[in-house]
Amino acid sequence: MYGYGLSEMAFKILIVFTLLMLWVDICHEKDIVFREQIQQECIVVRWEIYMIAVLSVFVFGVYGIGYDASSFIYMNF
Amino acid sequence: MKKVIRVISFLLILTLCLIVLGDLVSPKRYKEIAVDNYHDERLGFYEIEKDTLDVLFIGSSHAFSSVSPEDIFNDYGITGYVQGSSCQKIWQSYYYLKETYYTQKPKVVVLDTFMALDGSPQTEAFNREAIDKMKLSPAKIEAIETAVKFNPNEESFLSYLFPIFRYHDRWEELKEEDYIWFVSEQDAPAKGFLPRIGSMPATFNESDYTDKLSEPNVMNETCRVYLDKIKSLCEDNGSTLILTKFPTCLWNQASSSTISQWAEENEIEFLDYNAEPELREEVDIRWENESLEGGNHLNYDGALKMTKVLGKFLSEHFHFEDKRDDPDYEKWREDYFYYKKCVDNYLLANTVDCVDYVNKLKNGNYVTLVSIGNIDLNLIDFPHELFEDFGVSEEFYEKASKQNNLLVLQNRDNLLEVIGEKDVEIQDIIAGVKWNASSRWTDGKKKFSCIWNKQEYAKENDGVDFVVWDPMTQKMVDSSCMIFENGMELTR
Repeated sequence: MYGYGLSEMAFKILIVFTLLMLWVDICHEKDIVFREQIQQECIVVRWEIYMIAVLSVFVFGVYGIGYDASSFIYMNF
Repeated sequence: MKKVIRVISFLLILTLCLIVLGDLVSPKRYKEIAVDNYHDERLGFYEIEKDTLDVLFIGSSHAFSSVSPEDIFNDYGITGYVQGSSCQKIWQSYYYLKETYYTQKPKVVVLDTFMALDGSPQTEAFNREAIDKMKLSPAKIEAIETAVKFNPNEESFLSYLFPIFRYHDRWEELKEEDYIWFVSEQDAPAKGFLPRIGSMPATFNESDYTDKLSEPNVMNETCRVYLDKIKSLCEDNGSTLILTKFPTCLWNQASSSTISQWAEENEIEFLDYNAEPELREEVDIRWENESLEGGNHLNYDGALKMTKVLGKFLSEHFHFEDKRDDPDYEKWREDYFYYKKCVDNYLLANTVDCVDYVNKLKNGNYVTLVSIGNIDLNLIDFPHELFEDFGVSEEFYEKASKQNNLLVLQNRDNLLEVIGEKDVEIQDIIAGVKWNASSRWTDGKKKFSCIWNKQEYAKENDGVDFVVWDPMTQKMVDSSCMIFENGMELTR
């Protein structure tokens, strides 16, 4: 089922973050500005959100040795 | 000002998170080690009390496969540690030595020279093995700089400092053992030694060394620089440097002569256990069964031989206080027994001879859960003397073929026999472990079960089932079944 270079775990993470992106977009459509919402939170909650966001990129990001961004962008054309 | 403090605090917390996550996703090495899986000998080095090391052994896999510091401690009361890593280049040896002097003042530094003549760049995998587990220090920073200098296009300083950038892909491979290792206490029961079980015959060619006229090679400049640095560092710290070449079939006269030449120029002793016939005979490696993989490394038996000889040399040529009875070194004594027990456990789990297996159970202070499965002991002529020393009753043998049964074997004074026509179970703490074992009628047959840590250890074979617990290491070390189809056999 997961035979196209995407593992089950990666696929699940992809779904979670896609839904998150969708939810944020829907909120924006409803004029809920997340930046303002986050800024109203206390420092602990705010920093937790920032940390999770940054660390998620570092952990789940596709980068490093063996990854060539240009080959992805041009898809070997 | 407040904003600056906040930014700095945020960055500090982020850095801490990156370090912790980096540790979590980093590969845990030495899985195949006979000594405890969840311990990393390199990290264990940092747990050694300050200024307690007499001897530092340093070098490639030839160092950590050939010398067992705990055996030297057991024989002579000399404390030692192997700061080894696979294919360790001479510059890495230098940084390990430098790091060692932060906390230790070894009287003797033994450097194995297998890689001392190789000035080629190191591959990333070996660099990672050597550097990732070093604690942050100037020595580590310099080691990273050197590694990156040799491979500037393939390696980055930042990814060594924060391994998360290198290993983040492993997030989907993380297993329970990564988390267990992550939170477990680091220790070094074998003091950097890697006991390697198994053998593959090799042939040692004396002809590689008979040509005494072999000209020394020209020593690579990088190697010379770092050998000189190692020598100076040892001198500055009052250590005597000794060069060795532990037994291997991958050495030759030219390499030996090159090292000898440098050693003579610098008035340093070089013990070549390959090229020097006297030294070679003293160790007396039987290459047909004391080499791990056909001549490269020594196996456990070969390493013990090499260790005996080196321990004798150290005790005869240097004065070390015998610390075997020193209460401050009690941990070294405990570690010796622990590491030996780990090796014994490995050997037990690989034993195939039934009588040998039961003898090991008897002599190894194990707690063994046994259940006689769906076989008639009378029909197969089961040798009752097998469990004689455990004191198993004749009544048990008579009933066990037809009834559910469980036996807990320790010794003659601690035997538990549970037998009954209906289902039987043991839900007690015995020797520090909560046993959750049963023998039940299932579809008209006896079914044995032994669950520990949510894992089923019972084998599904019609024979005599064994589940072996080691109280010293607190581990289930084996589960096996003795079957009787073609004589007496042990299956796993």
